[in-house]
Amino acid sequence: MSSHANAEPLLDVRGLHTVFHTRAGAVPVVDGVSLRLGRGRVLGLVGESGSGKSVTGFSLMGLVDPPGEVVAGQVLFNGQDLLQLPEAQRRALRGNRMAMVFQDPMATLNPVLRIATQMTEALHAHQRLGRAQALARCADALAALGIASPQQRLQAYPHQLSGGMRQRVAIAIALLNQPDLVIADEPTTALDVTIQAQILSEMQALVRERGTALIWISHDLSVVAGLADEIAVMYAGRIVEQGPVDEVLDHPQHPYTQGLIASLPSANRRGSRLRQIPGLAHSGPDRPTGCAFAPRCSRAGAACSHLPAATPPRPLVPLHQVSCHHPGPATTQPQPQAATA
Amino acid sequence: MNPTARPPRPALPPEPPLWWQRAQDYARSRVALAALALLGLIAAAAVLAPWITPQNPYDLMQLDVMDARLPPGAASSDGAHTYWLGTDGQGRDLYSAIVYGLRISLAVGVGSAVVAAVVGTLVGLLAAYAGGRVDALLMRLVDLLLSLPTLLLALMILAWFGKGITNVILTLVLLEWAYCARTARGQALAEMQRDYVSAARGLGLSATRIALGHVLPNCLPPLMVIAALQVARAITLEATLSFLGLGVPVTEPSLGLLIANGYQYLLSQAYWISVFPGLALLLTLMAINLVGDQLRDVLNPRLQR
Repeated sequence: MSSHANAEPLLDVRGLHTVFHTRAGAVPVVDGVSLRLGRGRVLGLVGESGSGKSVTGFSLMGLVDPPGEVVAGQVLFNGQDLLQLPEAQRRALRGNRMAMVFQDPMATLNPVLRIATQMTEALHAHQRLGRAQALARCADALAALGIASPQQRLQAYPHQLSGGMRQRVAIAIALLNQPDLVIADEPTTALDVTIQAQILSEMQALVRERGTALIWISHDLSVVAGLADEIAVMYAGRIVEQGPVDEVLDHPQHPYTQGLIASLPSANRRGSRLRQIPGLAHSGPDRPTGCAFAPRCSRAGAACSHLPAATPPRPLVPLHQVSCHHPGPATTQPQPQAATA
Repeated sequence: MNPTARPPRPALPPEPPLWWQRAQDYARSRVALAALALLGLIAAAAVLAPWITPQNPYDLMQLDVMDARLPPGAASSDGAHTYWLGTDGQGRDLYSAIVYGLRISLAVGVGSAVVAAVVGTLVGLLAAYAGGRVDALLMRLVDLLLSLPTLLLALMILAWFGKGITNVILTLVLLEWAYCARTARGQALAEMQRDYVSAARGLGLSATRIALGHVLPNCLPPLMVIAALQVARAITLEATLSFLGLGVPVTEPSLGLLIANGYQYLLSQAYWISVFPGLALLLTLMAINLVGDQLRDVLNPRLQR
């Protein structure tokens, strides 16, 4: 066993189930997610829209609103099951030991409050601090994210800042209380590529330096490849494959992961048609009983439609888990373009 | 010194504060600006009444019955001063009476609108936050209040509890808070869906703090407009109630009561007793409504440049 796996993890999620209650019944959105994350580690949680990756993040933070509900599972954070904690204690952890960065930097800052107000508030919610002291901490936090003249920015309103600047502010707020865990829900998706790269590298440096664990929710495999230590691939509310990022991306065992990687545009295949995964991602209440990916999967067999997919760890890479009845390396690389959707 | 260090960027000129930008937006309409000036003048006159009027119309000792129903511009019987707007049936200087009457009308209007706005906003926020049965109960109460004819209800309440300035204000608050409550609830429900509320919760802020510190400030613009227009509504209602004899006491006439007093002389050539207070009321209401309308335009995020 490698060293970081047997120590008590910072976060140990077991069988997390989150449903959304609709007229048609309870729709499972997170369907038995299990994750482990060591201190200071970076986990990339990838999946396409609607795969439940954001709801997983919200469930961990305890921010799922009705009609959504976390119905089962354990979220052990520093050995403590968050789902058993009373709301007041969860609130004391939120923004303090665990924090979240949201997707849309235009919407996550309150438009009518100055940056200074919104930042000091995050500090005052969890500790006693003088106003001058709090402002100094906020200015430092902004400077750490590469914001020029932080004193001036503190007095600004959100609409006076650019999108990239706002997301830096949001990240600075999340990091203010030096949390153990930051959950970042596609924080760079709404930004253009150059800003995205800057923010990624700044954030990476900050979490490394402070030993903050990070869950980076994204649909962008290339971002996760450069940032994360570990990766978890979600499909229809379940994690279909997880493991060390290089291992999973270089030797994907699940056909869905393989499909995702194959669908990335690449310079080597310039001009050729991009590969796509046939069919549509499953959504709605009438989920197949077995593997949710089976209807789109070329390897699907009789086993897939009956049983929920098993999770046999691969013998050579014990941390690499795949939930599939037919795991294995991608079969044919130059698959002929048969659009049989 | 690090040779690669860039020279520091010159500091940006500070952007004018938000309220100044709004003030400039407001000033774009000359009519609205004039209305605001007029309103300021009216308010100043009301506040400074004792210093800018020749007599205290509420002090019966200063009234001379011999001067009753003098036309505008007539001199007083002792020759001490001129009644520029004439006198009423008790020999009251109408100019003084109007300025003092404005005082009462504005106090009743502003007082009841402010209290109604505060109460209504808090009730609306509570309904939005509590949801479920609390929300349903409060909103049915609001529906009930809004469905009843305001004037009739006010007359019943005042007939029961007796007249007087405090009772009039309380009655108006009771009848007006529902408007703000409904708007505040709707606004708060919309704001609560926005990401900054989730973000604030993600920071571990308490629900009360988020409601008052984050959601409320975002709900304020429409509520301010409603409050401004309710000042006008309250003044109208008070004038109506006073006209009907259920408002303020006869010894301290508001504009509505002055109009009522002059009503009986209207056909006997003493038009000024009703007409001048009526004009004052009209100008005040017009100014408030114009200011309120412009506020709505300035504060409406959908119309913003």
